[in-house]
Amino acid sequence: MMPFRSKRRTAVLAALAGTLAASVSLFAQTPLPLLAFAIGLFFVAAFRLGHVAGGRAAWAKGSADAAASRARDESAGDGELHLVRALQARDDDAGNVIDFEKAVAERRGIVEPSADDIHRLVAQLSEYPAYVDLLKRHLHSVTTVSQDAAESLLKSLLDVDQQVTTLMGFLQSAGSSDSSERILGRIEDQLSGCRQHLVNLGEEQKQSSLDAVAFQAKLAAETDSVLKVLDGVQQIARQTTMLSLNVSIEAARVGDLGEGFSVIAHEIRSLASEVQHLADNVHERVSGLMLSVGADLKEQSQKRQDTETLAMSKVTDALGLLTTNLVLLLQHQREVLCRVKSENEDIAQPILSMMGNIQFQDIVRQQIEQIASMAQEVDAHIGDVRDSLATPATILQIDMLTERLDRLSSSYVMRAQRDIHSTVLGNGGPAADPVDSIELF
Amino acid sequence: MKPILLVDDSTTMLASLSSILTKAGLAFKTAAHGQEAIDSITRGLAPSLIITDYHMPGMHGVELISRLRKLPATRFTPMLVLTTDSQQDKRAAAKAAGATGWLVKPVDPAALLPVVRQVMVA
Repeated sequence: MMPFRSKRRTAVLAALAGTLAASVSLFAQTPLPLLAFAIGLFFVAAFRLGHVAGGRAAWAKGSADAAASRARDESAGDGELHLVRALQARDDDAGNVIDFEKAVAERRGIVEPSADDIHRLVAQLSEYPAYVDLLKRHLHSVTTVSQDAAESLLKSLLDVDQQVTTLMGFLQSAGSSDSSERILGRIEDQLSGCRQHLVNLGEEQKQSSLDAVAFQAKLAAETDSVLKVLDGVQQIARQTTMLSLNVSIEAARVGDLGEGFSVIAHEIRSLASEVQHLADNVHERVSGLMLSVGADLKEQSQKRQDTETLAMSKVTDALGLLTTNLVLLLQHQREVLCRVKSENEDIAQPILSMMGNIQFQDIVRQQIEQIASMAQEVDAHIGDVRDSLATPATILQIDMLTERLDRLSSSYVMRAQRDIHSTVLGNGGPAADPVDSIELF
Repeated sequence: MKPILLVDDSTTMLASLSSILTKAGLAFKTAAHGQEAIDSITRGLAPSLIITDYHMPGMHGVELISRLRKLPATRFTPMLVLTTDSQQDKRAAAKAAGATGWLVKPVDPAALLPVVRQVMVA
């Protein structure tokens, strides 16, 4: 049988190994990259411990395995018994008596630690607080960095939101229905003015035609007056001719004495005839001129009327087309505005959602704080183990690490934390918390 | 419009909630811990709604609600607890202290804002 001191040391070392194993297992369940560092830290510590103690880390593990195996063998009895029988058979052949404990230990590669080894081990365990402090400082650094990142992310998000809001506001302001309606109203007013101008132009054209007709009538009247004057001149010429004929007759009747009057009558008749001829000529020319001017006026008036009517018709058609295009333009602008409004809502929703997602940092912070507390518990436990190595009488007063961690679990606030703890340490199922994330009382 | 009072020791949470409320066009005030919230109330702040964290240094959220319920200005003010804590017993304690509701972080703004508008007083 193993001496009591050896058993005690073995139990302490087994507890130390168990501490490391349990810590690593629990940390490893937490989904944070930093925990890789924590795990590495503990492994480094274990490695250093093993180095200085000359393989005593392996020994500790071997002791733990041996203790566990022994307990198993003592309950079952077969493993140890098989080994003893094998050694006895060898001793029988050699005729020697061997130390079974030593033989078993040697066979299992276990080296009994000396008192100096234990002192060095205690010294190594005394380094753990520094490692835990280092771990906690790194965890705090992670919290700080994640908080700075979250705040920076939120600030950028707010800047983006502000820019988008400003841009959308500008688009909506620049292309708002009110603004478009005002512009269209002004254009409509201008088009109405153009139409009125065309109507006025048409009225003026009509009046101009009437004026032309009136002018033609006035010209005809004036021409008639001239012709009547000419008729009077012709009548005077005819009467003068008749008078000169009568003078010639009377001159012939008085014979030679009337010869002079006959010549004068002849000359008067000649002048009357010439006046008659000239009057006829003027009458004919005035009549022709009147007809020509009337025809020209009528033709020019009709031509101008046709031209202007055609031009006004074209302008009217162009204005109608312009109005139609403006209505289409306004409709298109309204569609663009609707699209802008819709896009604005589509952009706003994920931005708002991201603003909420920033809360993850607060959750991570609380989880890291729990991990720091857990490291503190492990540190305290290692301290107890260290003290027990120095003062073996206190071994039985050490709380199991599981008990410490179970006590810590009462401060878990998240369902995920309790689930992980329960999964790793297997101390009961997760608490039946409400699933609803929002509950109004 | 009366402001909403946000109480949380996490600057990230305050920033997140502030931006959400701002985007929703809601006025708000902030306090970093329970005592600061109580001081604001006693100085005359009359919020339309109080949203408080549970785990805060000095005074936890349910204790804050309990104390605010004793102040005339906030006796009937709706109060929501916004926390990472999902434990039923704490919910029950909050309800007993006079909380209006319990919200677990992280809360989706699309779910938070309807609740805020539903419970806040004009």
